Amino acid sequence: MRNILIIAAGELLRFFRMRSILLIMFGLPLLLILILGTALSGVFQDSEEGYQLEVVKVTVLNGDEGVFNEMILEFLNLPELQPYMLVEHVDSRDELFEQYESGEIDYGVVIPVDFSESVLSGGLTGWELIEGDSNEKNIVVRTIFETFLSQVNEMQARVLVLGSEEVERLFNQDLNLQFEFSSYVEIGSLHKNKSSTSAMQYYAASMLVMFLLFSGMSAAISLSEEKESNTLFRLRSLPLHPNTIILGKLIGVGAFSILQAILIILFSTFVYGVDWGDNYLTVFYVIVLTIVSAASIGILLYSFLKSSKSISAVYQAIIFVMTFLSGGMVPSLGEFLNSLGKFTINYWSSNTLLRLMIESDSTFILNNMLVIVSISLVLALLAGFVYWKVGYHE
Amino acid sequence: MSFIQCENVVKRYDDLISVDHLSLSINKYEIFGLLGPNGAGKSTAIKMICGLLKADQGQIFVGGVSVKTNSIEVKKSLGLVPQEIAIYENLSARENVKFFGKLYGLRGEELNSKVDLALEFVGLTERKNEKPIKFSGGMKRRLNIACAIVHQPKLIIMDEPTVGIDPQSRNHILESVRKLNEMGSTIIYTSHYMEEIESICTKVGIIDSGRLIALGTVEELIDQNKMEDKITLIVDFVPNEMVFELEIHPKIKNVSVNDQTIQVYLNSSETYLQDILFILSKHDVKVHTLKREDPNLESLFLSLTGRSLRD
Repeated sequence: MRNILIIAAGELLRFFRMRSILLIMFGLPLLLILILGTALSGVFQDSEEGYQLEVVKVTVLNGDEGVFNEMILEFLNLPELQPYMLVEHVDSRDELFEQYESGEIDYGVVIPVDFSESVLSGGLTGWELIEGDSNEKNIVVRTIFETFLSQVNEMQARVLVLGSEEVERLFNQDLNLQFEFSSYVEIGSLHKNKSSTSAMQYYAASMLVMFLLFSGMSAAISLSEEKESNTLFRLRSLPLHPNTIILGKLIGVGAFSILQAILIILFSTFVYGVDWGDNYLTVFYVIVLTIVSAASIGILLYSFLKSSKSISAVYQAIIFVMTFLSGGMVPSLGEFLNSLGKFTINYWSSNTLLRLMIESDSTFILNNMLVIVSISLVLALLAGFVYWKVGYHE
Repeated sequence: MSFIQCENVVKRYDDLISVDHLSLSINKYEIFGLLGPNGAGKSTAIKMICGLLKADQGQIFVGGVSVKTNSIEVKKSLGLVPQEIAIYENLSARENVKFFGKLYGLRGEELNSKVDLALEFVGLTERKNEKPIKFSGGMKRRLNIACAIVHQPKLIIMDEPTVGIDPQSRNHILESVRKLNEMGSTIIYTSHYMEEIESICTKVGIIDSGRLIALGTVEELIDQNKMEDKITLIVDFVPNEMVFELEIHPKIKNVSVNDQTIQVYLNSSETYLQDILFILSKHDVKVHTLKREDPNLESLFLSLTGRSLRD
């Protein structure tokens, strides 16, 4: 064990002697988080204020004077709807269209004169919805009115089943003709306090994972360079167990990556204001498991590629493709590419870190962790098998 | 009692036999020179002695310990100076030696004093805090040695430690080898430079095609071959026909030509010198210089293997 630590310490010392590596591994992720987090902040919701819908100006021409009139008026004045639409009434169709064409209103509704009568007689009727230019506003108002009309449809169904007389009797006796927002669905939150992540949080997680993957590349290059610089030959002539050398080197690279992760987390927390959540132990597990996966890929590449240059080229390509597919550069890539992203280490590690940031339900985090553990385990076993076959010698 | 004992050692790479039933014994405190052209099997033999390669057949013992069954124990008592420089360029000279010293099990004050001693021994004390990237080839070679001797091993194996360095560094290294030997280390030394082997080795083994073809002290080997002479002639031109005639002469063992210099290896030059001069005059070749050299390891090597050591 002591010799493993000596080799690990030597590995760390050599890393710290390479200024260019230090600059890339410590400085670059912080710079990328700043650039991407700032440049693409518009793509993300503001996590504190939430997304604000504009109030839609709606003009209603209500020709109905039947039993539903009171219910319609009550519905249009419901306080729950005030944040979404501002209702104005007109007396004629001409007036409505005049306002609509002048751009004074966003949406128009015409309720026919015989609306109540038609509903009660089980006949065909409907509201005329005049949509405006804004698709977003149209969706908001359409959804509100369709909700109301679905209740009216329900009443009409009763008419068809029970007959209009029976329904009218019910109306007159005990049916409370009041519109109510009733739902069988209770909307809750799977995240404790926070609804979504900011751009800074998103890129802090994705850049952390990307640079943790670079640790695997460093390990593979270090293994290869030890061979190229003939120091492996000397190390093998020392009184060491064969596995001591590779274990020491991997632990050295792992320790360097953990230091790198600590720096990224601390710097992004105190300088960029990134909130990493309060489950630091799980964050640590994600980091360690990502390093294990990265190192395993490193051993596999080292076993199949001959020089440190080819390892570097292939590993960099793998990292960038995985980071891109997982949405580490641009969050949304379309359905196909997003589904491919689920086959990357980056996706699961970043996703878990993001869920930890917003304090998601523990079931989600546990599921993600199971996937990360499985990926690490499979890659580690594969790397172990290949190492056992190929070995580490000059 | 032999310190190193190789018994009928065989190593094959697929169909190629690299070491062919090698049996060898090296006594304690010897400087053993291992000679052989490239591909002769000496590096493979060294790797097997160091426990870096397993022999397919036979046994190797170092200090009575079997390399096959206890290579870690054997490795504790040896220091390998590889042919290629094997140091970390981004660590200082002292950090390099200290790193390997720690892995040899040295600790604390003993580690520090032995590191300083090793650096002093190879003459790098004044530059111990500099990185080897700034060093000359000779200084790197010396650091290469320091990393192998920091734990003061009983056995030091030096594989071509003087390749590509200046004469000053070479002399320094040769002097270091003698000192290490005087301090109690047994040394196996391989080199292409015959004069190095002749000047420092107390015993020499010549290996070719994986087989040990000669073994003994330098004097013993030369005595075995004292009938062999080398004549060097510098001539005005070298016609091919003349070289051919020299080569087919029954008493001439080998002819090598380099520009206007001809080297002829033969048995008893006193008897056959007139034959050589007759062949030269037949082709109107004028001799500017003629030199007869006493037998040495190089002529012995050529005599035994039919080729030069640098072939």
